[in-house]
Amino acid sequence: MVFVPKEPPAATENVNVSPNHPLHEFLILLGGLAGVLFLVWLLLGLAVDWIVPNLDPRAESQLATIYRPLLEVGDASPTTQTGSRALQIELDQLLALQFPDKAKRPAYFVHLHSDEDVNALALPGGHILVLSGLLAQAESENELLFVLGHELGHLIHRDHLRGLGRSLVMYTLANALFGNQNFVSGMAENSLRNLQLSFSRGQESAADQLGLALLVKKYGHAGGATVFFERLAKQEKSPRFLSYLTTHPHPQERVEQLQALIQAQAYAIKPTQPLSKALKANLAASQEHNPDGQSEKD
Amino acid sequence: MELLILAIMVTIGYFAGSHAEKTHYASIIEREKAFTKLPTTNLKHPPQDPREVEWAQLVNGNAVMAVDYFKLFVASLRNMFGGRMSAYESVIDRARREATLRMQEMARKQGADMIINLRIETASIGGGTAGQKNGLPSIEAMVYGTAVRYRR
Repeated sequence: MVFVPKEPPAATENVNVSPNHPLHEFLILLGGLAGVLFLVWLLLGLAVDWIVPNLDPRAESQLATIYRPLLEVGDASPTTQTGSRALQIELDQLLALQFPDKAKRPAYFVHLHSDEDVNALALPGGHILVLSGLLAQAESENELLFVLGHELGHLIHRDHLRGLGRSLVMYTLANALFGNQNFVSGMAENSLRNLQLSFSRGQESAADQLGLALLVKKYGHAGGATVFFERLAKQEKSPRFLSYLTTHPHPQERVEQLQALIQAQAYAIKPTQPLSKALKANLAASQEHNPDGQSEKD
Repeated sequence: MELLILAIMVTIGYFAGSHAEKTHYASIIEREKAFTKLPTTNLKHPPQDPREVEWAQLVNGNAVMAVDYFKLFVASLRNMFGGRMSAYESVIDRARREATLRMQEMARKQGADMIINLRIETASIGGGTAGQKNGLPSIEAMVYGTAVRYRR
């Protein structure tokens, strides 16, 4: 046996180390992970869509307990309470129009909440939250009724539960992936807490359609339907083309959709009715109650 | 925020890690070339030689190689899907070769002519061992053999 000295192989000919670039593997694995996550998200989203229509009303009211503190704040002051009552009468009329059969009529509740934001929200458990900022801007009963009808549409289509379910899916995934308390799960949790349940464009237009139909049922014409969004469009600062990136359609787009619908159904447009005095008085009082317009949301 | 920190760690890990690996491999190959004259085998007995063995002595070399964040990240992704853990291959390869070189260095200092009966042990340090719960894994390679000197 003879010993023959041999030089070590060059670094590129090392058989013990895979020749592929580390970044190559990194990207492939990351892509695989993203694919798996997307699939899970998609499946869980579908599961939410499948469960929501079959969800028991009792389970839904149990879900609504997470919003109880917020609703209690809204109900706390006597002025907002009377405001809520006035709105409830309007909502009950709409419900009677939508569900003529009393046995099938669901129990939905509307709450007035002191907040300067111009918004209304549909929450689990059949609650509609109207922010006083919206009432402050409303000029006609028709307009207010359309907004109520729109939120009612979300409740009837159970969009709020879909939004909640998807937020939950996101929250769970983010928690499972990155552990507790990181910015993704923080975001998802905030959206659960702050009720920023965004609905898809399709859901929004479906709710708009129901609001419009109810408006016509009540007044016999579609006057005032577009006023609310026209005002929003004037206040909107973001350019219109950006709306393709967001889930909410741009207000101007919704005005056009509504106008197209009104034309297609050949609805008449007649003068609107001013807001009832009782509601206006309550509104002024509720703003006094909360003079700096600070919201109680966190 | 934590995702940002992770991204920064992985980026630092990638650039620092690949730089360290490149320079280390250059040094390993250079030193291995210098040691081609010192036969190192895992034979149990010295090959037949007319010379008489003057002495035989245990020599050993030890190297601990740490894993950078980039490799750790790729490896944890790899753990989900299975397959060749190629991110760690170079770490193990470097640790063993470095340890072997250190053992050869020790043998040369003692004036050995060859090393027989080479053995390699590998242990992981950190990453759930040695009492650490969430430590970053690093690998220890321990190489030992019998240094032999012939009478001249």
